[in-house]
Formats: sequence, structure tokens, C-alpha cells
Amino acid sequence: MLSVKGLSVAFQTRKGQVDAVRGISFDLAPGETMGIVGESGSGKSVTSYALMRILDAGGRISAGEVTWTGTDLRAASEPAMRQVRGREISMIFQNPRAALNPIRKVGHQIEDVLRQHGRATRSDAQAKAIEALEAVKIRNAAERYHAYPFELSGGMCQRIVIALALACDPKLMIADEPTTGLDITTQKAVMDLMRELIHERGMSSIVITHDLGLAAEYCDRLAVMKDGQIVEAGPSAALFANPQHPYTRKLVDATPRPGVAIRDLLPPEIRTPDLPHEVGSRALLEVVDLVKTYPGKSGPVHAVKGISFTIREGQSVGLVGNPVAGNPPRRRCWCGCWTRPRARSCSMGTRLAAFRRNASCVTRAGGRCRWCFRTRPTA
Amino acid sequence: MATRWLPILWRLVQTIPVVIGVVIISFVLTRALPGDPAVQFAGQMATPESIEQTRVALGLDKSLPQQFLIYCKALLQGDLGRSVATGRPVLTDLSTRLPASLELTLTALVLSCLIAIPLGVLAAVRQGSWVDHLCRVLVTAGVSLPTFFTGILLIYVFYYLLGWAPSPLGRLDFVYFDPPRVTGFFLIDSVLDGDLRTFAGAAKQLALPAITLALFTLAPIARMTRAAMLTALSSDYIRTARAAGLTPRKVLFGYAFRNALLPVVTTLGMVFSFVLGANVLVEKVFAWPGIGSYAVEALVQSDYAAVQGFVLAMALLFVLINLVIDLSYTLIDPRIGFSSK
Repeated sequence: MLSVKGLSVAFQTRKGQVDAVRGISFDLAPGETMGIVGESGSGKSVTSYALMRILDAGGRISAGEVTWTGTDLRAASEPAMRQVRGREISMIFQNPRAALNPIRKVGHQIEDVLRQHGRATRSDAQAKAIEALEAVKIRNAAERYHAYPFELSGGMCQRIVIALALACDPKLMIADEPTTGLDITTQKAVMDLMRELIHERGMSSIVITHDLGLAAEYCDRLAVMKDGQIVEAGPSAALFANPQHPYTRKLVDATPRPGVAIRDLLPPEIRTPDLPHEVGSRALLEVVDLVKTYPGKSGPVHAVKGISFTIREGQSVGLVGNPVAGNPPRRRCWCGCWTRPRARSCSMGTRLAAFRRNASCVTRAGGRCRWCFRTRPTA
Repeated sequence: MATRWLPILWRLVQTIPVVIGVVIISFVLTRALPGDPAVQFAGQMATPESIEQTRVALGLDKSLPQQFLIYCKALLQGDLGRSVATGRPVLTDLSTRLPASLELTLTALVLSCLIAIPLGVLAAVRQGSWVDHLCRVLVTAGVSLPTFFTGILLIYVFYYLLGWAPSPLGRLDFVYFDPPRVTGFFLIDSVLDGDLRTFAGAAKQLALPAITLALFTLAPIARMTRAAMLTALSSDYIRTARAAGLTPRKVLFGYAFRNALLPVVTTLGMVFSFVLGANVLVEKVFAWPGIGSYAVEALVQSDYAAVQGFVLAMALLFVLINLVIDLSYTLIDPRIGFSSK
């Protein structure tokens, strides 16, 4: 169905020509799901852009052949290419919120695609767009039709992007890092939805990801890319169980499983010894029934609903949860420098909750308790 | 529907303190100006007694707070005072001169938008092409040539050498009569009157000063359009739109341009308010009876009432322009709502 032979993509930059993709070949059968795995900069996304011929200015296919159901996509005219894009091959992207036009209603964006490919007329476009939204299991599709991307969650935006991609019943869907920028539970929901829709419609798909575990779970076949070349390819299970190329082995090792720590990713020779450390008995931070509420538009928002834990000397405690679960307010509560939390007791030798918003107290607490914030990917 | 208008009403209410502040500041600032208006208006042959007389007549012998109260009381009755220089009420002066300035500025801005926005869009789409270079040259020329220079150059070429333009003396050649006043805009009033000859006369008179100002305002608008378009075109949603097979026209105008419009509108508002005050040089060169030259004359002669009237009028205009820009934001970008402010 899709056949790629010796595809190379080169970018003209100020520092000269950069070969992003160097002679890769693969075939895709109807109904097959293939995963392209590799680290960022390995050329996996560029490959997909090249297939669609939507490379940025300066990029061009320098060699190779791309054949799509008998048509040579490299030689196809631009108008012919537009017929392929969206109708035969469609794409979904990472960072779904940014992938949608921020100032156009999502329903209208779907209508644009439907009408471009003659799937709807002015009169029935709205109904068909709502159908497309329902197809990706969006509840209250008629209401969501009028929503703007900023009013929707990341997972919801990705569903819209999928609806957009599937609106014209393409035969192949390319998903470029479809879960990047989503939190972990949404990732699974989105991937399951995608798999279901693809199977339902008998489509082929290419999943591009840096996450080998994810690719192995959802794809029939994998190709591992590094520096613009495919270093290893094969059925997912075999590749995962018995990686041949050292790079694939590294990737397999890097896939999180219980009992594997970050330090296991390092080559054994540069690993620092795992020093045994003492967990003291003295409680440094003791949090008892911490409650934090914010004034919200519709009543107070309970960000933290009575949590308790203790950090002892030398101990590390991980707080795990979805981004909405309220970690940052909790962190701020400890030091009492946000607003005074309502906690029965929150002690570090001193009762932090009893602090007024007194600068010297906060500074003292801050001096003994440091925290680093993660940087949030800007949407 | 009521909920929709409420924020706009609230936005209007917010402008009240601004206006009050402007009234106070303009009053204090004019009082802080060097020069004694009493001396100025008593004339060359004044004796200390006649100066004192003038001072009392102008109400300048009273304390500052008293003067301010008198000024505010008059202001509430719509009385901006009387200009000592022209001898007419300031309100009358402003109402003839402000439309002149507005007509000039608006024409210039429309002209400049008609050129700058397509130029900016083209320069962004064809980055590095001759259009891009042309844009760069025009922008550089536009900012680096001072308006009085371009004005004089245009007069020299089109009036003196070619004789295409009428003499650069005001809004209408003396062979025409002023059209009956409706809006104060000669172009509109003459059309309303059905007098196309006067319209042509006014348009001819307006052409050179408007082009001069347009050349000056071209630069920021073209530059902002180009930058905003480049940002928009490199966004993820453009790639999505292209991957969905939308036509380049749809991608460019439906997706990129609308997103690029926001900074362009901001720039437009800034340029408008800026030019309205800064076109005094153009008004001088073309003997345009606008508000800028009026204000400068008033300042030179320590004409308190006229200066205060000018500052107040400009402030109200600024408030109005900002309001219009804010409102157009909400039309362009659904993410911007008044409620979030």
C-alpha cells in the first residue's frame, strides 16, 4: 500500500546541508500498524512530513521513492498532493492544543476539512462535523462543536485532532508523537481510542514515538531509527524480546518497568555506586490533614483535601499524580508562603500553619526546605 | 444578551478615572508651563497696572485650587473656556480643527494599511524574495525619512516641478466653498452635499499630506504584519491545516492571517494615537488647519484654555481608540474576554 525506498531528506541551513533522513526503506500493508521509534532528532517526524510533502521551507526530498497505492508521491503535483492529504493519508500531531487553530471553533475546523474534500456542503457541514466529533466519543458533541481549543483539555483537543484526521475516512493515519504533552491516564485513553478507530475502519497507521513501550503495545511492527537511518526493524514482540542492535537494546532497557531505576540506564562502568543511606527517625516535615482551597468561579476549589504524610531525615518521598491532582499547591503549603493553609498541624519543629505572612518566618522556613519546580511544557 | 454588554459597560466605567486623572494633570501641567499669560496678552505696551488687570480678567489672580474648581465647573457645563489667542471658544476651535486632523490621519492610515498589510503578508510568505527586500527597503526608508522632509520633497516634485498637486495651503483651495458642515470631514460632507467638484478639490488637497503621513506609518505596520505572519505560519496549527489538505489560500487567509491580525491591530492603534499628535510637522508643512498646529501655537502663547482643551480632547480620543481596539480584540480572538481582566 505504501512503499518507501531509499528516502532521504535534506535541509538547507546556514551551516550547509543537513541530512535529516538518510536512505530509509519500508513497506506498509493495508490494515497494518507500524511504529517508528527513535530519540528526538532521529528523523522520524521528518520522515512523516516528507511522506505528506509538508516539509518546512528549506527541506526537500533529496533521494528515494515514495509510492502510495501506485502513485509516486514524490512526483505528484501540488494539487494532486492536496487530494491525498487529509483524504487518503492524514496526520495527527503532538501537543494537540497547539495543533488546532486557537481562534477558530473546533467544529468549523472540522468543517473546513470536510468541505475541502467535498465530503460536506454548506448545509450539512455542521451535522457531519458533529458526527465526526461523536465518532471520537466526545460527549455533548453538539455543544463541543462551538468550543474553542483553549476551552478544552489536552486530551479533548487530541480527540478533536483525531476527529479532524479521520473526518474524510483516510486509508492511512500517521500519528506523530500522539501522546506527547498529555498526562499519563489521558495518554492511554487516546491511544486506545486511536487503536479502536483504526481497527474499526480497517486503516493502516504509522505511530511515531520515542516511547518504545507504547509502540510495542500498539504496533504490529517496529522500525527503530537513529541519526536518520533505520537501524533495526521487525515484529514488535520479537524486537522487544530480543533486540539485536545495541541502540535498540538501550531503548528496551530505557523502557520503564517495575524494579528498573533511572541509574540502570547508565552504562555499568559509569554508574555511581548505590550508597546505602540512613533514614533517620526524626521527622523533618510532618503534614497532618492538610487542606487547601482556592476561591474559584463556581465556589471554592478544594485543591488539597486533607492529606497527611511524614518526611524523615534522609528520606525521599515521591508525590505522584495527574497534573490536576494538586501537587503545586501542596508544595507551596509546606512552606506557608503561598497563603496560610488550613492544616491542623504541619510541623517542621515549628508549626508552619501558625505563621502569619511574616517575611522572616517564611525566609527561615525556606532556608531549611528547598524545592525545585519542574518546567511545564508551554503549549 | 445583557451579560454580553455588561463587560463593555464596565470597560467604559473604567475609563472614568482615567479621564478625571487627565483633567487634573492637564490643568497642573499647563500651570507649570513657563511664561506668564497675563504679560503675553496685555501686549507690548503694557504697564504693570494693565498686566494686573489682564490677570484679574483671566482669573489668574485666584489660587490654584480655586482656578481648578472654576475650570471643572465650566467643564461640566461643556465649556472649555475661551482661547485668548483666537478669541473664540476652545470648543469651537477644536470642533473645526479636530476633524481636519482626523481626516488627514485616517486617510493616511487607510492608505498605509492598504499597502503595508499586503506587503507584509507577501514578504512573510515569500521570505527572501524581491517582495521581502522591497518591504525592507520601504520600511527603512519610511522610518528614516522625517515627515517634514518627505512632505517638502513631495511638494517640490508634485506641485513645483510637475504641477499635479494644488498649492499646499490648507484643506481646500480658495476657489471652492467649504461644504456644509455635517461631520467636519470635507470628503464626506461634500459627498453628502452632492458636490463632487468640491470632493475632488478636497481629495487633491488631501493627497500629498496623506501620502507623507502614510509613508511614515507604513513602516511599523508592514514590519508587524510580516513578523506576525511569520510567527503564525510557523505554528503547529498551520501544519495541521496543510496536512489536512486545505488549499494554500485557506491556510494563508483563514488560518494564518486571522491569527496574525491581533498584533497588527495593536500596532495600528498605537500608530494612530501616536500619529494624531505627531502629525504637527505635516500640518505645518501643508498649512493644514489641524489640531497639532493649534496646540503648538497655544503652547507658545501660554494659552491655558486652548492647551487644556487640546490635551483633554486627545485624552478622550486615546481612551476611545483603546476601547475600540479592545473591542476588536474580542471579535478577533475568543480567548480574550473582558471577564478575565
